[in-house]
Amino acid sequence: MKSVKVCILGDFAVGKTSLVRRFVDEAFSERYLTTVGVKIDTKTVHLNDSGPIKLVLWDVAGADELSALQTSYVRGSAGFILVCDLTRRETLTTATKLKSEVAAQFGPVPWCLLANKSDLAQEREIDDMALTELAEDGWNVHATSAKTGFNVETAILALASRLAAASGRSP
Amino acid sequence: MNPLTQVPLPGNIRERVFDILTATQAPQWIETDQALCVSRSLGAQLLEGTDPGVELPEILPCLVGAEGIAPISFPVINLSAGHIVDVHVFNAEAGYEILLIDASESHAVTQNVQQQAHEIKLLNRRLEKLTVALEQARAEAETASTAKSRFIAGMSHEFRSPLTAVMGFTELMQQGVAQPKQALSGIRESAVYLLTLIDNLLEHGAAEDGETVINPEPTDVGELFSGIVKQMRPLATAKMLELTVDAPDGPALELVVDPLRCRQILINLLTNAVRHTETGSIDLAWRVAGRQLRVSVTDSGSGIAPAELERIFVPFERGAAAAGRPGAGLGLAISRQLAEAMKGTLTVASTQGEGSCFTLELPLPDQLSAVRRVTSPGTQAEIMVVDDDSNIRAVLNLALADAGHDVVVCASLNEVTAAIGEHGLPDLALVDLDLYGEDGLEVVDALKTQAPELPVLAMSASTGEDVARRSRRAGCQGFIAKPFELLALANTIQKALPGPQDE
Repeated sequence: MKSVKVCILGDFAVGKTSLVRRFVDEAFSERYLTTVGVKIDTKTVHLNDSGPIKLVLWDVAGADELSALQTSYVRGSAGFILVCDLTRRETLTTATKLKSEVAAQFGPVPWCLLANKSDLAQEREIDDMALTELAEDGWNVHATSAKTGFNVETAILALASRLAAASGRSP
Repeated sequence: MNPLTQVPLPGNIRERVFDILTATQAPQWIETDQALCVSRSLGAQLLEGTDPGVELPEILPCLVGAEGIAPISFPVINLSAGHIVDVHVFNAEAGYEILLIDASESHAVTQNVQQQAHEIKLLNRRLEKLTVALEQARAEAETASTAKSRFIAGMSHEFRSPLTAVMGFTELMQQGVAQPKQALSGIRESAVYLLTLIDNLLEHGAAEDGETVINPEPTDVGELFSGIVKQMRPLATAKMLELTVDAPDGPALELVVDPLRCRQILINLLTNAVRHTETGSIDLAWRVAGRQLRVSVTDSGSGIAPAELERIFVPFERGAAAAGRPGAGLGLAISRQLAEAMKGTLTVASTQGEGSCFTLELPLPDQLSAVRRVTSPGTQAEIMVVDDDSNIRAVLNLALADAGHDVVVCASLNEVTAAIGEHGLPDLALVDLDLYGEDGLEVVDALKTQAPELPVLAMSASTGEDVARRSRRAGCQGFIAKPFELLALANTIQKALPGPQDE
């Protein structure tokens, strides 16, 4: 079975660990516990077109730029997931910056943006129009909620399909 | 135990491994084969499955994507089984050599520091947002306070000006200086202005609270509009302006509209037209087109600049032409609110120097019916007036007697009982609901107990919808809001009295 490494990147406290936990364990905790270094989890998903694929999810500690340390984590990734927090506008700026840095260092690989915490509708600082504009610029954007599970699996499976398709094209 | 003495390390990495090992506690050195099975391990047993011959399920994920790019180091890896290690991978001839170093202790320290730093950042950000929100709230409160002060100052002026005229004319009449006709005309003009101002203020408050109530009812609109024009004519005449009504030919039409709201809008439009017209005429025209009632008020006044055509409908905003003239800047705003509450529109077209035309368009329900105009002379009757205000009793006594009625006036339920004992039941009773120390509905109840068919009209200075509703529930035939036009009162009384028109 094909294994692919996927790095999850984004500013601190945007919900990267919670998204992985929701996707892998279907669970959520309200408590914020900062990630130091990397947490590695795996989940095998079954895709209609290409059969099973093992996602090795590298949940990298939150940062607003790629440090040398994080660069070593990202190396060898087949794809990456950027995460921003819909209630903090600056986390979208960080995601945009990280995307440019990853693209510059590792070339074009499949990626997507999860705009997390969609359940906190009253506190949103990033509106649907901003997400629509990103989508119009070619971004794969998904509003998600690790708390309720909204859109989490759909978004990550969509990326997995693109990873499977990309690895199928690789020599 | 020194792994360096037991593991035959490649020369090119010996120095680096030495540095790593000398800086750490509990290192573990694992040698794997091509299949990533342990061939030999040394050091403390950090991980399960590090005995020779077993796979390395914990470490395997670290090597995904890393093939061909070793040596590589992954600091602080949180493995799913709970181990926290630094992972260093080296290429070996037959597989990999992996150095694991327990990072639990450094992880705990770093996490503690990082957690606090992040939480402080999040708290600071929340604090910043709160500060911004507080600053915004403070600015809004200041703006509201300024607007309130400006409003009170403006209203004070709006109330004091007509009151000055009323007090001045009254004093001059008492001294015999002013001609009664001129003085009374001035007093009446000021009273109409004050009434409109109060109505507009109350309406503005109700609209802001979303409490505008619309009560459509079959209405003889020709009669309604003629009555409004009749009320406004003295104001126009005082300025030598012609005030005309252009009504459709044919029989009178009974349309389902809210007569009170239509009246409020047209009084506002006509008051403005008189105020801003110095010479010429003002015309109120109305037509029914399809299922729509269209009423226009056209004047030959100063007109409105194009840039101000929408601003004049904003509360407390007034056009340049209104500068220095009386007015609170509420009439047009409220008129449009009322038109929209009736699912209609109020628009304006204007040419500066030529005049303005305000058009009210209201949708009508399906049924239109021509009504027969009541032309029979008024019925003379015995009318009982119940009101605790002696001035109101005096005004009603004079007006009703002048119309040919016999009038009995009472101030309380006791006086009502005594009057019935002396004169018998009247043909109609006019009862104020806000009697001093009593509920007027008790009087209504007492009258209805003795004569259930007796027509009773309720009066009140409270204009809330619940007052009218309570009076209807008590059996009253009608409700008259104070202050009222004597002509309108006479019409209401004639309609309520049993007589030839009551078919």
